[in-house]
Amino acid sequence: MDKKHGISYFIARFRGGIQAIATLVSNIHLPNFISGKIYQGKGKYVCVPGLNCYSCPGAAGACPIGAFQAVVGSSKFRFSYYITGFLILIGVLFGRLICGFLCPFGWFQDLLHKIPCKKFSTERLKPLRYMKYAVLVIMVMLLPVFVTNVVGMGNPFFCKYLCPQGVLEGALPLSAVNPSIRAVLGKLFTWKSGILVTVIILSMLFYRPFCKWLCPLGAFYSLFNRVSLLQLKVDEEKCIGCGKCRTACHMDVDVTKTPNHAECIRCGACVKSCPAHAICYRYGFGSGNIRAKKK
Amino acid sequence: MKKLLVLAMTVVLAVSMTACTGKKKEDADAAGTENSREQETDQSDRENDKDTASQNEIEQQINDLFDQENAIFGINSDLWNRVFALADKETVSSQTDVEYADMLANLIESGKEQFTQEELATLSADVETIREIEAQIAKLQQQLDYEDESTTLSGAEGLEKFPEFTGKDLDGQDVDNSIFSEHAVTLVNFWFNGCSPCVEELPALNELNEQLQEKGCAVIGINTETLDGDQSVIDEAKAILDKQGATYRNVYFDSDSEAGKYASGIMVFPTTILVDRNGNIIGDPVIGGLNNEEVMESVMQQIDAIIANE
Repeated sequence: MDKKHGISYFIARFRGGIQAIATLVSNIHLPNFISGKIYQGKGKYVCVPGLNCYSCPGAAGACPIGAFQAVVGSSKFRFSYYITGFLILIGVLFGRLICGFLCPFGWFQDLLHKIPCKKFSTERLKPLRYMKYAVLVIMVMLLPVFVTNVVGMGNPFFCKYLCPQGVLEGALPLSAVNPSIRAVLGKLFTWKSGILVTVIILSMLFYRPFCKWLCPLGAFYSLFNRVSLLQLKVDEEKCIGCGKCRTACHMDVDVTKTPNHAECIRCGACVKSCPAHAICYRYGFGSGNIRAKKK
Repeated sequence: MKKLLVLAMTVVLAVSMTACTGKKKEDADAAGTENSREQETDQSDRENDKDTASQNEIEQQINDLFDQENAIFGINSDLWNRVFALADKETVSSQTDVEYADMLANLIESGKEQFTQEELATLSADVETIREIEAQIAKLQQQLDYEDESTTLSGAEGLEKFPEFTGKDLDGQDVDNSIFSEHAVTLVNFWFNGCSPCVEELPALNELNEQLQEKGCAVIGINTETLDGDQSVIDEAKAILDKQGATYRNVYFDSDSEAGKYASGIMVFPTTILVDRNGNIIGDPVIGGLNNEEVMESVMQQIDAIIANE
């Protein structure tokens, strides 16, 4: 007899705990929050897979988006093979599982969405989803390369002008303990804080607005969902066509039609909602047959 | 399943604790916090001792002077006892603003009928000696206060004196701490090759250097990527300085040294600190490009204040 719930179910069930652990591990250097120092050791040569600011005092690794801009924006332009390669590897291995399970800012939005208030659907706002690709191409890739100063150095445009995670994890903790930094906060900080506050409010009203509409990292990973080794599989034979998965999906994905849609963050809400246990995670090569879960 | 999760969390927490202690040793107070566990080099020890030694010296001298005063009272003790008997709580407490010597004179005045002319003469002579001693004490007290003040004025990192260093400038010439003694105020600017705002403020810094030369001050730069003397990085730095027209000196030293650790501990760029002739760091570090008017003004004010204090 099949076990009532498979592993997929439990993975989806404990996603919250996994997100918490991932956030802690990404920001393991907790004492730095008090001392106001940024960890600068060897760990910073490695990128974390989610959106986690390099300037976060506790950050254990570098932000892939920030690192990418720093490399392509340097006066000696070099395409960042290392970082792009890293992102492609993660994309192929996991796709947007990173968004659903390992990104600290994703967790932040999830938590905000739990705050009780009127919730709105983003079903009709689907065109906004293309904005994040524009952010990726223009702010992360093109502007740092082409808008340079007299010495040929570009600015990390996404980090500087848009990223709310940088305010939440970098500017706020650092300026809290360092009066010299507080003294120089100006218009840019006001602008970025405004963005953070807007994202916070929107996250309470909508599900993960930043991930859907603005995040360049999510935009990049989304290109790999269909080719990733991690897939969501719908067992056609078990599926009764009730549509509960589509209703449960907060990313507006029609699960039975396109389980590996670019917008799917692999959160497993559909897995939990399916009364026939027809949906599960599948990892590996080949389309494979869905094996019945036996213990 | 729940047990597994709890176990996993405990393991992660345990690991994070060890990571923290590991970090503390590595992050070893690069900028020198007030924490006295930073007894890394003999040099920093000796420096701290020197400061407290001079403070102790002054305090010792003050105590000696107090002893002298008491000795004077001791010589004509019965006379002075009669004077002190005249004092009561009210008269003394109402005269707290008055100098000690004057207060004694007033006391004597209030009871002068008791004393013979001779006695009054002795007492006045004593009061004058005491007046002189009080003046000396006041001067020493001022010195003590100044020493205290200069330590409380120091930077956010709590570092009072620029760590001693021996290094080179980007043209290969030797440099060490004596560079500070050449100018009333040295503006030390920390930057690195990849820092866009740092590079953009270089022309403004060069102009500032020209202005400061007239006041007997100077700007020097420390490119934190050039610590340890990587020649390719140095060449890049020189190219940038050339392009931006920055002609003032840039120095580097070992990243292992006290100064190197201080420089490596700087998080925010560009950072500028003001160092006086004796190597003391005055005021808080200034963050941000000096090509900003407000920032430049506040820096100039601080420089003028230090020159005035000299």
